[in-house]
Amino acid sequence: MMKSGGRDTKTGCPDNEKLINSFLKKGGLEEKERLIDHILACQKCKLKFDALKQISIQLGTFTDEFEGDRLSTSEEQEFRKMARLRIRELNKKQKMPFLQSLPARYLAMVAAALLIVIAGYFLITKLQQRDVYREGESGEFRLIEPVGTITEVPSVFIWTPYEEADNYLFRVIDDELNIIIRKGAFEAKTTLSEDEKKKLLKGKTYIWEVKAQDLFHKEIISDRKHFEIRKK
Amino acid sequence: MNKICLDLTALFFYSCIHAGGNYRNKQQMDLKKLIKTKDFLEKMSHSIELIIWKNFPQLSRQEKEDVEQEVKLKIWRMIAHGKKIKNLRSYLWKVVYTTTLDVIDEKMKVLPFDTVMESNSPNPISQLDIQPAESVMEKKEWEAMFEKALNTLIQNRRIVIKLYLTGMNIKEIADFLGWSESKANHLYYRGLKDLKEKLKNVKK
Repeated sequence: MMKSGGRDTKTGCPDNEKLINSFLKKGGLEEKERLIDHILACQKCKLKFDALKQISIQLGTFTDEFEGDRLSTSEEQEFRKMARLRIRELNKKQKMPFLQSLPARYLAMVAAALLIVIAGYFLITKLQQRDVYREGESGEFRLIEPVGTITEVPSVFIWTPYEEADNYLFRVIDDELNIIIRKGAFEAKTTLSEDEKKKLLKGKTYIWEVKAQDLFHKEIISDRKHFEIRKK
Repeated sequence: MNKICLDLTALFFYSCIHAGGNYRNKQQMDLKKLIKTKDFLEKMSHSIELIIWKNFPQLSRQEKEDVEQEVKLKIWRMIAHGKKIKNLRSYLWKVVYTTTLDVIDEKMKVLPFDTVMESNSPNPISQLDIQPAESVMEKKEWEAMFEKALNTLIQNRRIVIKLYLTGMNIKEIADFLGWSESKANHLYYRGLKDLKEKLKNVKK
């Protein structure tokens, strides 16, 4: 681009140096006025001027920073070394492996999926461990129906009464380990409401279990049964 | 937060390694000053990035992400290969301003200017408390009258009004001209009063 007297001869626009100098408080009023006259007439330069103005506001927040600071030759060398080090870091980032270059949103999704898998594995392991404990202890406290594959959404869940129980806590868990129904009962069965039945979907497998409690909150947990509502 | 800690640790190690056995050498750039300068440049590169995003809203998501890297690299390259630093403050200020304009120039080359300037900025004259004309013909005539009247004001008042027309407020005008805010404020109101008087006379 041809430049003359701080101006682009082709467009008549002031060069960047001139625009910057005006913000560095260089130049007299007349020079500044010529610059402003151009800015008022040229949208390209207006955009640049506005950007410099915004930067100047930001710089204004560092009022006393670096005031009067001068660098010795060796300090300047240190400063340049730091710059080269930073460039190397930035260039490394630019060449980072595929996974790191993925947008944060995708990485978050992958991390969330991994977390779910790990949590699921952990819960299943825990539940399986509890099974062993429970079956050994619960003895005759067993679940009766529904079990296995059934054709209709079940309404009534029945288990053997536990002698010392004052109440029961009943819950149904879906195949993603979400507790979808949780309710209390005073006898060895419970009937689902219509709203609760709607939560049970055909083609899916569910697990159910019951906890027997006495007045002193001593508890015993039943074994666990699963049922699948067959699709017609 | 982690990033800042890592940066500071890296800087510390960097400083120790490069200091060699001469860590207490007074000539060594003070670690605090080094960290302060680095922090300042990182903060300013973020500000530049936001300003570029604001001025080029049509940039794609990927392009916006690239701006961050571009700005940082430009700043540090300028420092790595720059001229002799006489005054750190004005040197850093210049680096920041220059980087901003360099990135804008590059974006302007790539993006069609019409789309850049999807300007919905109001007519600058309408920012003053002066009623412009309504029809197109009258408007042109009025603008010529306005310019003529403006150019007959005395220089100090005229330049304040012109800067106001660029969208600056009184504080920004004062900073730009290196004046006190009260001086800029006084000249603005005197200039506006003169301008209204002159326009009234021209209309008659």
